[in-house]
This record gives sequence, structure tokens and C-alpha cells, in this order.
Amino acid sequence: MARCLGLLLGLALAASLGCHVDVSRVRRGTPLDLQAFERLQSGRSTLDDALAALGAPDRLEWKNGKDYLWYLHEDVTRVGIRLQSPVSVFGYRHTFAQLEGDREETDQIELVFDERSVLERKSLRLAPGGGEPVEGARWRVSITPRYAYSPVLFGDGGEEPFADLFEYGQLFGLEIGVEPTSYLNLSLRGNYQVYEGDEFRDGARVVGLDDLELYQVTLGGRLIFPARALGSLWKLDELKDLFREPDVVARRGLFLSIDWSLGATYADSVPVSFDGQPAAATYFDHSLSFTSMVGAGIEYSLDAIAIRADFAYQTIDAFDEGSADLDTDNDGLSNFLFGGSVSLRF
Amino acid sequence: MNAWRPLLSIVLLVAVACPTSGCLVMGRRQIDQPIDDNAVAAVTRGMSREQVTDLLGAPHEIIFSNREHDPLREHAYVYEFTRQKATALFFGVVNFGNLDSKRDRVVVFFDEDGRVASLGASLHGHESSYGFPFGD
Repeated sequence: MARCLGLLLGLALAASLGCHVDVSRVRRGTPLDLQAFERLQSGRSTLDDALAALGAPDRLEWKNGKDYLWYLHEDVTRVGIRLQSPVSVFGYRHTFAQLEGDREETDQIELVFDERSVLERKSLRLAPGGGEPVEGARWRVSITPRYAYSPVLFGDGGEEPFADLFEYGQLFGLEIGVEPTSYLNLSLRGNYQVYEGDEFRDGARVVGLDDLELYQVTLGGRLIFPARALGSLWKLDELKDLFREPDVVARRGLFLSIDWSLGATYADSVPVSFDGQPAAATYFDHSLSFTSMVGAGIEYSLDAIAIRADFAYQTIDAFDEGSADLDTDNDGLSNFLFGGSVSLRF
Repeated sequence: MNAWRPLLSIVLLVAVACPTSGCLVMGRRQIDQPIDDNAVAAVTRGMSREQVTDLLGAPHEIIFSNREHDPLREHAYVYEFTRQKATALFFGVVNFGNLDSKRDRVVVFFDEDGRVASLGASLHGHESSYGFPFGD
């Protein structure tokens, strides 16, 4: 766990220093039909049989009356790490260093036909893990209840900073997501957040605030990396194995995640009291604001269940000013949320 | 469901990219002309080279005889069309790229009399798709 936390902090530090990891893949052609290849028999099958079974060859040569046919499927994986200036000058970021590695793999079938167009010999060479595609890849649906705790708030709340207007906060949320691949979750998220109201002194009077209650609906994404992927960046075989994992439910072990979401927050009005006496006035009126959240987490996945610990940074645009005779012109709320969730996948 | 997957993937990709500071880039490239599958089906054994080129047009490549004592002879015509679809997702720290390249390819073999002896066709150009670098 400590190692994963270190990796996560390392990732955050790398991001702030302008480090980028690029993973790309190029695939040319269609996966080879190995069953059709097995059906071809040397000394018996003809050129017509091969063309009917495998289609047009990707490469063809005719040497001394013999036809040489190749069927190819190329799969290239490339990983690069760029260290760039964290400072942008008119959109330009200087690249200090770039490390790259790639692995090009080709599945190939070679067929040789004699002058009578009868198969003389056949051969097959597969890359590790190559061949026909893995069947059974399917989209998954996930349901994720979530809880988070916010120890401190940031931002100008008007009369006082938000940290002095409200104490700790809590988030209760539910995500309904789809996972089109093993490593991406897209979700609709609903959250209820409550921040306990505090008191502050305004001249001779003590002003008390009721709790701040927020209702959020957001659209979010989560990119999920196996923790070992960071150590496998230069072991391209292992990285490709991670790509080939077709089903999220077969996923096991420790993972790191990057989260983001965007949506709307409805803030209920915040009644105010003076010297302990409730007043017919509000500090914030009810309002609808734009909100966004970014975060990172550590997840342990065991088949259809995943347990996650995460932190997030949330920003909510300014709330509407209330009716109380106070300076309630605020700049919006931001805060850190530390929490956990359990995902169930179907 | 399979028919809707590419479209659904694009919608979801946009949905992913919009709320982030990153972005989504999609590109498509076509090389040469698509091969008409009806024209391919019309090519039959015994047709002359002229009849083949009337149906399929000029070949992309010609495979010649290279037997030591043979006269130069056109052994096979190759027709090819390539379609590539590229997808890139930039998430800031981690970026993903994917290129899927698939081809229509037809090879017509001729006998020593210049008549069609065999034909092989693989029409997969339309199968190239946008997507992630994951999976097979």
C-alpha cells in the first residue's frame, strides 16, 4: 500500500513537473484465421482452397514457378515518456527529454504452392499472445456508492473565508457507470454534500449559519491503471498483456485511478441567526452552480467487486447572495475530499 | 448492439473528453479507391486480362513471372484500398493513441494463356474503427 501511495504521489509530482506518458498502438490488417490455416493440407490443398479460406494474401511473390503467399497481421505498441517544461510560453512547452520504446509484432502465415498450384508447404509464426482475438469482451455496468470527508474548505465566503463559515463536510454519493474497456469507467454521479454551519462575529453580534446542503449531478470518468503498469512501462510484453485483458470482471489486484467529473450543483439556501436567534434571512440563497472535480485513488479489485480509497479536489462556482444584511458576495467554494467507495460490476 | 458500438464509443469518448482539460482527436485516411464487391464477384475463371481491368480498373501492382528462361509474363494483378482510423485521447499526464488500418485487397492470378486462374479477395477496409488501444 505504501508503495502504491508513493507511486500515486510520484504521478502527481510528475504531472506538476510536466511529465507525460504516451501509450499508442497501431494495428494493421485483420487477425489471422488459424482454423482456416489448420484446414489447409500440404500436398492436397490448392491455391483456390487457400484463397477461399484466407482471402487475398497481404504479400505475394512468384519465384521459379512457385507462388509464395504471406498473410500478415501487425500490432505495434509504443510507449513514450516526455519531460516538458511545466511553464507554457504562448502555448509552447519545451521538451527537455523524451524516452521512447516500441515493439512491433507480426503474426504471419506463409504458404508455398508448386507449379501445379498445390500447397507444397505451410508455416505459421505468431507473436506472444497473438493469433485470433479473445472472445468474450463485453461492456460492464457498475454501481458505486461513495462516501467522502472534507476536513477543510477554501475560498472567500463573503464576510469570512469558507473555512470559518462552515466546519467539516461529508459527501454521500452514488455512481452508475459503464466500462467499455477494462481501464475506463464513465459514469453519471449523484452526490449529496453537507457542511456543518459555524459561527463568526460581526461587530458586536454573533452570526450563526445553518448547514450548507448541496445536491450534485455530474458526468464523470475514471481511468484505471494497474499499479504494475508503471513498473512495466518498458516491458512492452507485459503492457500489451494488460491491453489484451478483455473483461473488467477478470480484473484482480491493485490499481491506480485518475478521476474527473463535471456537472451542476444545487445549493439549498443557508438560513442565518443572530446571537442565537433565528432570523428571517439567508446567508446564501438557493442557487445552481457549475462544479468540477478531479482526483486520484487506489483500488483493489477482486473480480466483480472493487474497493477504492481516493482523494479529490472540488470546485463549485459562487453561490447566490442571501437576504441577510451581511457581505455574502462569495467567490465559490473549493475543498479536498478524502473518501472511499465500493464498486459492484455486472 | 455491435452495429451501434462505434457510434456509442464516439459519443462516450466525447463525453469523456468534454469535462476534462484534455481533448479528443479523431482522424481518417483513405488510400486509393474502395473495391466494388459486385465487380469482384463478376470476375470468373477464364476471363482475359482486359475483361478483368474492365471490371476492376487498373491494378495497384502487377506480379511478373521471373522464371529464369520464361518470357516476361503478368502472373497476377493486385488491387488494394486502405482505410485508417486514428483516435487520440489526451488526459494530460497520460495520453492514448490508436490507429486501426484495414484493407480491401484482391489478387487475380492468370495462367500462361493470360486467363483468370484463381482469385482471392479480402474486403475489410470498411471494418477499420475508432477506439482505444486496449483489447485485441
